[in-house]
Amino acid sequence: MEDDTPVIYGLEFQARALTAQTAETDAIRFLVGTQSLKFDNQIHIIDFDDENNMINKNVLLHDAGEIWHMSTSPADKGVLTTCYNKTSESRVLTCAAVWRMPPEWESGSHESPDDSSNNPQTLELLCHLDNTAHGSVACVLWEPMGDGKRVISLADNHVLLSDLQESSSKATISSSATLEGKGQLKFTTGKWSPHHNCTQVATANDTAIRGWDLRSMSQMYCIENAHGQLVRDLDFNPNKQYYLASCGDDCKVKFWDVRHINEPVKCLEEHSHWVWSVRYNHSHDQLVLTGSSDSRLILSNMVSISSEPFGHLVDDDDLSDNEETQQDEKVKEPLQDSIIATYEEHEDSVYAVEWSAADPWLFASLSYDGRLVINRVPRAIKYRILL
Amino acid sequence: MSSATTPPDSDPSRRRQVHSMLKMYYGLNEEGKCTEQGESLDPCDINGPHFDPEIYLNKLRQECSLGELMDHETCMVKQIRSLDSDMQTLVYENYNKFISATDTIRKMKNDFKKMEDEMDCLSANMTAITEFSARISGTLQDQHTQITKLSGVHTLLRKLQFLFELPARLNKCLELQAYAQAVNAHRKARCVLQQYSHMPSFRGIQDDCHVIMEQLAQQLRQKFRDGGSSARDLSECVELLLQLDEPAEELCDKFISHAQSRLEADLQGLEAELKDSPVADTSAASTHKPSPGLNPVSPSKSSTSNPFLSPTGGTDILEFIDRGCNEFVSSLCLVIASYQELFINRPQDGELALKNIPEMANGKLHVFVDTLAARYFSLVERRIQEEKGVGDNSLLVRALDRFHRRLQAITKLLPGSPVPSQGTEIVVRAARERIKQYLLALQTFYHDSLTDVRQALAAPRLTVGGACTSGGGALAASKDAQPNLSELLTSLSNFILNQLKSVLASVHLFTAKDITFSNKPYFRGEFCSQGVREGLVVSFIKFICQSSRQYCESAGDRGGSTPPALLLLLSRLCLDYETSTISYIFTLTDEQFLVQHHTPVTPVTALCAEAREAAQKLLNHYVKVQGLIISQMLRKSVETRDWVNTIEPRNVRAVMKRVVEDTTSIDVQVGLLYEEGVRKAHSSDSSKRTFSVYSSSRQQIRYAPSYTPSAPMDTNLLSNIHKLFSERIDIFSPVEFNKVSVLTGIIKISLKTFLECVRLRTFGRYGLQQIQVDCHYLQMYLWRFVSDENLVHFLLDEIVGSAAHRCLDPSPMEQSVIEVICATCIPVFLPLTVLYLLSVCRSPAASVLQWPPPLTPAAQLWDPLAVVLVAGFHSLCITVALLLLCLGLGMPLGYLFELVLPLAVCAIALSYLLSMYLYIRSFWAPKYALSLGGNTGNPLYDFFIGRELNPRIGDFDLKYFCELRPGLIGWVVINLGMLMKEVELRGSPSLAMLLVNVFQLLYVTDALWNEEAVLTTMDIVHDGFGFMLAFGDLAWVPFTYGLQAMFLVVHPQPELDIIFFEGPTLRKISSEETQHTKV
Repeated sequence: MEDDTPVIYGLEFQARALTAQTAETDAIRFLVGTQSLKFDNQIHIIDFDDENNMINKNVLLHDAGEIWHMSTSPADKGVLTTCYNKTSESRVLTCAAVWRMPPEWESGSHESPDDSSNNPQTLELLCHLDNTAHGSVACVLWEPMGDGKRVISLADNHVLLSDLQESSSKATISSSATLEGKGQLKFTTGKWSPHHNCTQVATANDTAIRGWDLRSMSQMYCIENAHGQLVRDLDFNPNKQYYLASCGDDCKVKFWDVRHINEPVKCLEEHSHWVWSVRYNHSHDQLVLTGSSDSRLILSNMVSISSEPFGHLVDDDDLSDNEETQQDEKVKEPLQDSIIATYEEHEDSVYAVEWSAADPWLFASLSYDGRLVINRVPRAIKYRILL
Repeated sequence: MSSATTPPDSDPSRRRQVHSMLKMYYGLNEEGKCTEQGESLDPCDINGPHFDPEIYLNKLRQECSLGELMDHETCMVKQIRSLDSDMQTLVYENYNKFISATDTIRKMKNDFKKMEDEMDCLSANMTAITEFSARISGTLQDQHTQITKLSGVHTLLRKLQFLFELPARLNKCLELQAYAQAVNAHRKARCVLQQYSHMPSFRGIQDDCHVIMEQLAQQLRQKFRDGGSSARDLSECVELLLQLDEPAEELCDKFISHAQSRLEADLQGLEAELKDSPVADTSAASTHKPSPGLNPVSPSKSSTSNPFLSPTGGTDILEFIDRGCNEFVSSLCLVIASYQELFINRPQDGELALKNIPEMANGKLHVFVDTLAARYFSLVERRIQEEKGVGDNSLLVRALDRFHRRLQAITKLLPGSPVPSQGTEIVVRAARERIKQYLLALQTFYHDSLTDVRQALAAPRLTVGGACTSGGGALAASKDAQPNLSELLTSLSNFILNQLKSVLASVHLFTAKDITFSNKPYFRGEFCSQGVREGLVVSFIKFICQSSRQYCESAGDRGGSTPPALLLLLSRLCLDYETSTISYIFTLTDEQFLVQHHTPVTPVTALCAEAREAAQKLLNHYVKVQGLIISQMLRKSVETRDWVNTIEPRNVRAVMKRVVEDTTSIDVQVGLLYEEGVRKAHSSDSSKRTFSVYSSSRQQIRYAPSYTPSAPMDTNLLSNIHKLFSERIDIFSPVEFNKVSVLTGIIKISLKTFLECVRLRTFGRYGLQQIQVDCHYLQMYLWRFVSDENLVHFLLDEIVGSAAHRCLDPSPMEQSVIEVICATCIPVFLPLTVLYLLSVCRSPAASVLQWPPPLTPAAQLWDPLAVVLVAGFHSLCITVALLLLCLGLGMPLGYLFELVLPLAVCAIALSYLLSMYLYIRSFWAPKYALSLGGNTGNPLYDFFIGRELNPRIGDFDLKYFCELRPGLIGWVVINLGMLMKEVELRGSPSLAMLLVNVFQLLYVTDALWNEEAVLTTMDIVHDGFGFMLAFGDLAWVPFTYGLQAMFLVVHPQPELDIIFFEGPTLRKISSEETQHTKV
């Protein structure tokens, strides 16, 4: 198995939406949503066969409109949400809906993979997250650890928490919060924190990052001017509860401790254009992946601020507030933060990067021209972390 | 001693004096040594043995004015002359004596022969006498022995008597305080008494003596302790006490403690002065009680030192050091000298030598000197630290020099002492401290000058009112600022360099030739290389780089707190440093300080590298900031528009014009500081070609197929193939130090932002077309700024392609239409403006802001008479005489008012016709007659700018003719017409109307009078004759400049109001006009 050769898959259409199938822990599976105004949009289900270094694809039709954002249920493999543009009578409206993938696709694909592309099946609409009253939906977030019953949608300047009932066929807004302020505020993106019993959400609008407490639906913290320009993406450190990564149009990736919001903990300036996406590795949080519109993908090793600076896996239970001090004591020969690799397989702006939910050493990136590249963490790094 | 300086009065006294001096010089008068010691130690005493010409010279130079110095010099010369003559007379005298002596000797020789004979005779007699005397002595032998015995008894008796009288004598001495005699007497008697002490009578005497001597010793000690006596007394005391077997150690201690108390007083004087200076203002009148904690030694002394606390306030450091030297150091030297005289160097008899006094005394002396010197040094150091100002360095240097020099005396006296080296350390430290202060001063100066620059940059901006971030009025502002920018740079760097030079010059005082410590290797080497070079120059340059870098970091996120122009300026500054200034500074430093590189020093290249890095960073940051400003503009323009429901594009959006304007202004700004740089393709031909490729073939290939719904794959394929062959573009990549590279960077950033924003939007049909138009417009103007125009093409292609992809109904606009829109926006827009202004002016409200605008019925725009008139109108303008003729013929000039609109239409039409004619005829013109600017290959653009430079019909130069005459004369005619109209309407012209006419006529007359001046203007020399000039001359000038008169016809004004209104307007218009014609 040639370890470091990337696997490239080309879509016919331009695409922005990429997600890993969160509930699937056996197979390496990514979902890609296309953007096409003229043709029916599709969701490509990309299965990666790690053994043979091969890709299997299935195509589902998403005829509601072009897909801007996509996320999968953490509990049910078959359920996903999309944010799509609906154009009607010279108006463009961004809506969100919960869908179920047809159950047959999996079996069908194995028998005749060619047919599936020719005769794509259609997604089954479960319910609309009807937010038209609140404006365009920027993204939909699933509760990270939950049973797939709660979603948050960010619509213009509203944070809407909905409960999905009757096997996701009905969505009711249980609570909401609104961001007030001068001018027309609009959330660009957000992230649901997996810590604190999933009671916290971080959102980004313009140059600010805000934290919300879902119990009271009130703002907890606000990092004004987190980036010099627009904040494009956020991600929570899966192992350290107060740590947050953000990226934006100032070409920087910043790491924050939300308890000390005045200064970022760390700042990377490796990209030469806007950074559109940042992702922590789900289990080894020193591995941070960033994708940028300079067509590059950078995998960096942020040892100094990770939960396992030594390559040891620190049990999540052991994590406490004074974890840093403990770690400082442990660090005898501090490893340097470094860039592990820069991937230049893309020819166009990379708008989305995602780690696989099943294999922590595998990640996918998607550029605007519809090219999906699946890469692995270099073996040397992998062994250094593991051993 | 002072008599040495006065001319001699009388001969004998002078001779005696000279004699005594000679004697003194040969050390003949030992008896006066003790008394003269105090005086002769002074090195400034020209007749003293310790005279040091250098110090004396310095002292003179310091104390005397030039006149006094001159007096001094003449006096000295006189003295030297008199000394010479003395010597000559002495020699003559001696010569005479020598001659007489030889005569005498010759005489003596003769006499000796005679004497020899007599001597023989004498010896014979002598033998006879000897015999006689032998006989006599034989007889007298007995008596002689008896007498001898008697005399022996006599002496013994005398001795005994002395002994018995001793107590009484001692008592008497004691009473008379003749201690020395008493001690002498006692010493003589002591051994005898010791020997015969077993006899009771002697014992009694001895005891008596003892008691007395005790008493005497007591008294001596008392005297010693009181200490008020002079040094001579003191040493005498000590000597006596030593002779009295007083323990030497105790004496040493006492002596030292006594000396200490006196020196302590000096020190306190100094300390008080030190304390005095900071509080001089507040408590000059108060009694200055030194706090007991600080001077525990003798509170009584502090009162004696009060005279030093005279309210002189802050004495300068030189005075302070002087006082320290004169009082403390000299008395310390005195003490050391006398101490050594007393205890260490004295001739020792065996008894004292056994006790090993010198070593013990030496040790004590060292301890004593060290402690005192330490205190003194701490005082001096405190004083030096107070010297914070960087103003007068020479004073400090001189003070340090004196300080150092004086300590050398201690070295001579006390060879092993660490004091001088400590003193040197102080000097070195003070020098280092001073360098630090200079560095600080330099840094603050640098900051100040930067603030000045910043203000200078901000000032013109403020007048325009647009902040640099908003970009409002950036063009105008930068136009104002531009002339300053390069001047600012030169003045800034000159300021800094001059300041650095002056600092170096004042630091250079430390190494001046006449400063003693400057020549010491331990000072000079370290000071020059470590102190000046590293500490001052290198640190300063590093500081400049560092602070510049801070500008990049601090301003990065928090928005444009630093004006971009400043960034540019600093970057150029750093670059200049890298290329020349640093090496210049270092050669200067090395020359001045003769730096020998013993210790490792920062190499020049490292500093250059640092400066270059800083310059690079600043420039990158500048590009980033400027790019950000433009891209913000673009982003807002894309984000805020509803692209789906936009109307059909008729015009290039204003934002794009702003982008081009801003880019142009940045271009000018950067051009002031940086060189042009290299373009990949810079001939106008190639630009034309790529332009046409872009506009026709490639455009079609690029996205024509993608609009056919059947082949979605082709689009991707084509664009991918295209990308395969084009290089990857790094958007925020480091730029080179030239204008083109900077502009390329900025444009790249802006266009990439545009691209990303476009991709986030959905477009309707007209949205796409608008983008096409915008991109085409950018294409037309941006290529000239960048190094590789393909880059702009590629990015713009990409933008249009992306917009097409994001378009719901992609039906692109015809390329020719786009070109027409881009090029016609001005040719169409301007004439409409003229007509609009004219009709607004005639409307009752006469406000440009009214909406909807007062549209004139189309019928009003046309009048057949106008055609006739305009044809005549322009030719009419050739001469006013013709006009007068017309007037004479009774032509109603007032009718002009009704005809203005049709006239304007006709004038516009005429300008169209003229420029059309010019455009067409230019194709027959020889190549050399074409202008540089108007040959892009784009017909509309060429039509607008004008292809031919100076079209002529025969000898008649069309451009020169049109430049002033039709416009200005037409303006006057219109004004006159309005005047007539007012006369018709109201019977007489209003004051306002008259004033308008008079002033504008004045202006026009002036312009026409000096018509030749127009030949050197841009219009004639550079621009082709196209629509721009034709329209401007024929339609714009007469009809818009005549607006005021027209306004007055419709809106009669109370005189005063209109005068106030007119004044500024007229001025403004005339200045604009001046610019228009002269620039």
